[in-house]
Amino acid sequence: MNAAQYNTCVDMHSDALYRFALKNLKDQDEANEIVQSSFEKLWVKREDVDFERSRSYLFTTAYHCMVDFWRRAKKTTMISEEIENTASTNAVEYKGLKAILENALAQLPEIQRTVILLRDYEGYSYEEIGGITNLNESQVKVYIFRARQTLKNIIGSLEAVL
Amino acid sequence: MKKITEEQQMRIFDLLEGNLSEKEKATLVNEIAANEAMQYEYGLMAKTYLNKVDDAITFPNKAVLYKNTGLLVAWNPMKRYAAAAAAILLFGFGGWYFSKQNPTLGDNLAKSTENAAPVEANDSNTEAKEGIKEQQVIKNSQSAKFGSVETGSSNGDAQLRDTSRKTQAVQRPENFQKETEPTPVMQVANVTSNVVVHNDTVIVYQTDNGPVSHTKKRSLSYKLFNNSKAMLANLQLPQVQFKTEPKANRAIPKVKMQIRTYNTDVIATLID
Repeated sequence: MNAAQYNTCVDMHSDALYRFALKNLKDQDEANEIVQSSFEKLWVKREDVDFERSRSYLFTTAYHCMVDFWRRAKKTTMISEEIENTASTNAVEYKGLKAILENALAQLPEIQRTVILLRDYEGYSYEEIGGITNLNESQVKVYIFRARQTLKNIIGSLEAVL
Repeated sequence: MKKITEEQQMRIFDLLEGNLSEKEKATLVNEIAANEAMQYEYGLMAKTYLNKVDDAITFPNKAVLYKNTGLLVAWNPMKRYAAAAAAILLFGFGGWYFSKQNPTLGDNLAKSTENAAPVEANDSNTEAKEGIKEQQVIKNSQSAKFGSVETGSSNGDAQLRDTSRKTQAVQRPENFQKETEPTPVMQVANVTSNVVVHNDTVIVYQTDNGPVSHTKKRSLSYKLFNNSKAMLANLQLPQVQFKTEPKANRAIPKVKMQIRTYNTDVIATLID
């Protein structure tokens, strides 16, 4: 991949990558970091990565960066996150479906949230998601199913309250 | 309402995911139409799908990611620093060689500045200006001491100037140090291009134009710190710390310091 193709990748994929990271992490600075790191790695590996594979490479790299982030964050913020989630659950009770869904998404396990975001936002196939997350197709399907079940239950319970 | 089985849930999921054939799809749609619980399940499950594209969210730092498609792409920071150092050495050597070849240049310069208007004490920033100002102050003090020596021969002038250089430590007025010492803040600015001086505030900017990862920022910060240690050692600045901006604005790591002078010492304070 040459510099011009790399710049085209920036045009084509940076927004999607940022959305993916932001929806997953809920932290603009970290999402920013992850996008920059992913593109930096793509630039370093530009000789080995085809232009056609760049999107997949970027999302895979971003996913790995996020896994690192979660590992780091888990050590320090587990307690505060619980408090935050409880507070935000209460706060979005009377907002629209989108807000409820966003909040429910945040409550999913990381891998489930990742596969759902890749599937819904980016329109990836099970196979492509498997390539990014190192899972096979069946595992991806099961994770997506479980994630939707969880989301469905949260939405259902909130609708029942309302 | 009757509960539906997990197998039915999975089929509804497959329907929404687009995993069913046309035949399977038609069968399931009929089944759902006849079953209230499945209708409810289908409605709820359909709500779990996020909008495909949320265009409102865009990456704000796209400009940082772009790469120059020209020759500069190959120029990593180390090569640029090396080129800058080579250029400085070349100019330095050129200047030295030129002054060796033209030994009277300094005298001519001093002569040309004799009648010039006095330079404002707080106006001069560059070393050249400081040099001229220093010569002028020395010259003025000599003029006061020896009277109208300006009318003498050129040899006499040169001799007098030589004498004034040799004895300038003795001839300097008491406030000479304060008037002619180059402002340390400006020295900082001359030492590295990463440093910009603005209203007594030294800002160290990151000049690398590539995308910056968290790790790279850390190493950059470390590099800045180390470079600055050498830089500050020359100026004898005490205890200066470097750190990146607070989390919200840390796309470009920078450091702000308040620089104050106290007699001949310089005190640098980090601004948060």
